Amino acid sequence: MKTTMIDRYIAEIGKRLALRNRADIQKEIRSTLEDMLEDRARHPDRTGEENLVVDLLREFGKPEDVAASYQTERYLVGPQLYPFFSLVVTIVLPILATVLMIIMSIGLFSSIVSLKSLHTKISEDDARLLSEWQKRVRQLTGNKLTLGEVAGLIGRIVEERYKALPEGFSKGDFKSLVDALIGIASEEASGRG
Amino acid sequence: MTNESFDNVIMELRRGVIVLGVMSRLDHEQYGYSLIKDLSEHGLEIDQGTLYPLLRRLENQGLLHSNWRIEADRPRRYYVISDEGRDLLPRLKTEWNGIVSMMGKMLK
Repeated sequence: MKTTMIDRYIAEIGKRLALRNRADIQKEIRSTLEDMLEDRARHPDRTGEENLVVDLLREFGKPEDVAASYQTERYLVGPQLYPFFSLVVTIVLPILATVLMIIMSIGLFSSIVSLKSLHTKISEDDARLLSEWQKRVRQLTGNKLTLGEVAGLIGRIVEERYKALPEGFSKGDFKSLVDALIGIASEEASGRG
Repeated sequence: MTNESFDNVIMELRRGVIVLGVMSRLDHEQYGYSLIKDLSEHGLEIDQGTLYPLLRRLENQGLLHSNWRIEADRPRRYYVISDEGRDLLPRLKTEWNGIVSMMGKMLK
């Protein structure tokens, strides 16, 4: 009885440990549990072996907690990069998606317009109006940030992050980073213009 | 302050002290459970869930050595301070004494 309960307990812990040192940790826990059990069995207020094991395991902790204590903290996105990650998810990605949608709908619209101009007979005035429109659309899409430029901008921010962290950014103050972002954007614009 | 957050503050406070306590008691070989009892006799209560991962970490850092031995039909893992740990310990003690006297003045 005692052995199987400890066996199951240790197996439960093992499931949650990395394979690399699983056997080693399990062996050590078992050895400790047996030591503790022996100690307690010698104690006068023993209440039967089965209860002894139950109490011991309960005191030792839930298998998941025991296993967790051996894990070093693991992150998908580490604490250093988290403010930046959060910024990207909450601000940059929605902007990116919006810009992308605008570019796509303009593209779709202008291709519909050119299809129409190919396949329908239209008056000369209308044709002039349409081509004027198409020119404007092209100007518009040409002047807006393209997807590539937005991606470039994000890359630039990452780069900038290590060179000159805006003060307070690491504390999660996004306003300072947004300011920096606007600064970079206007700098890029003036550099081109 | 809730009991839980009080416990957390105490735990944070004790964390560094435990490392020092463990290293100072491992000047001779001990296995985990004997170390727990040893520390407890000195008044430092520490549970297995804290001690074993700590021993493992200190060993990975090269401050302790360990080896398995069979004793009384049971494999036991014995830990002892490494040369590197032995070099570090006096410096840690000095640091600790500095902290004690500094905090003593600050909390007066």
